[in-house]
Amino acid sequence: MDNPSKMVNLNTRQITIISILTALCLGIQLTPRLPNIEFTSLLTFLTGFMFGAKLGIFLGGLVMLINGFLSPWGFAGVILPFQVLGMAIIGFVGGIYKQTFKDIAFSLERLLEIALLGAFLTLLYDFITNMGHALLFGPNLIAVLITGAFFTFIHVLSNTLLFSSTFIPLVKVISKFLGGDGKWVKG
Amino acid sequence: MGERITVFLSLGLITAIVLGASLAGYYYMKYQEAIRLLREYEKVTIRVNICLNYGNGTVKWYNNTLVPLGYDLLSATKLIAMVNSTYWESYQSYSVDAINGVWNNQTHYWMWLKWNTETNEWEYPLVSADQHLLSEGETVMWRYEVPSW
Repeated sequence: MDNPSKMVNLNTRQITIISILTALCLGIQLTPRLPNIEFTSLLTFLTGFMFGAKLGIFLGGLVMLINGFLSPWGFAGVILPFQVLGMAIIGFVGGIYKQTFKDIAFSLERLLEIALLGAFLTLLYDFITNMGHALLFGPNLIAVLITGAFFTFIHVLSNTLLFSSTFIPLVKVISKFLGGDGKWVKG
Repeated sequence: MGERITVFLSLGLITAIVLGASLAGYYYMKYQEAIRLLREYEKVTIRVNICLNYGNGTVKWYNNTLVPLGYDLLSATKLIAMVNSTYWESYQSYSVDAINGVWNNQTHYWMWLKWNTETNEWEYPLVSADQHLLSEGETVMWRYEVPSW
């Protein structure tokens, strides 16, 4: 893959934010925590939204790749490519979602969109990783989906709440830092 | 704008349907597992009815309580209530001092009775609770009362 900084035209502030998001994402992902409660999906989606689909894909894939080896839950094993794919899709959708806006004016409707998108993408991620498990280890896909349903429910619920409660404030803060409202822009 | 809402609501609907179906499947699987376990345990368990009569109008029934085969009444009572008991070396048996925090005193004691299905009456067995092995479908009662002796 190309050097990500060459994939898109980035200024210092953007590189700073991306570095912070990457560090935050990895730091949280590698910290021992409750199963299926994570911030990686949100931060990957946010990166895709703020900096484009390519960076979203790159961050999501990178975090899951590192997580696959250093996760507190142990080595991901052969499921790793499916985790990378699932998270890359979340980053990609973040970039695509941004393109559906003419301008960023948040409302209750946007909040609902974000919540539903967060829920759907989490379900999609779990579906992809469960599918990987079924493909590699043989059990029926339906059986795998049903066995993991409770964990998927927790995952979808937590991400729906997380996306709906934090995405818009995070976009506002990052936009402000990047000079969206002009306050932070150097004369 | 209408089309946009439709797209997102569809995504939400798909999520809800898939998640709902998965959860229904999960609970069905757990239910089947519980039924299978219950059938397995039924070979080594019995069902008994235990009544706690506190003597003040409060009566609590624990019907169809599942207890392991060969359990005595004292052990079975400990499954449904907090029991304090004392072992008497001379009698080689236990006496019950309190059930659920209600202690024997100078006038009132916890006595146990067995329902006689032939006479349809409660009767006082002549053994202590730990000496009485329960049998399938048996009905017993702990009653906090002034003993006749």
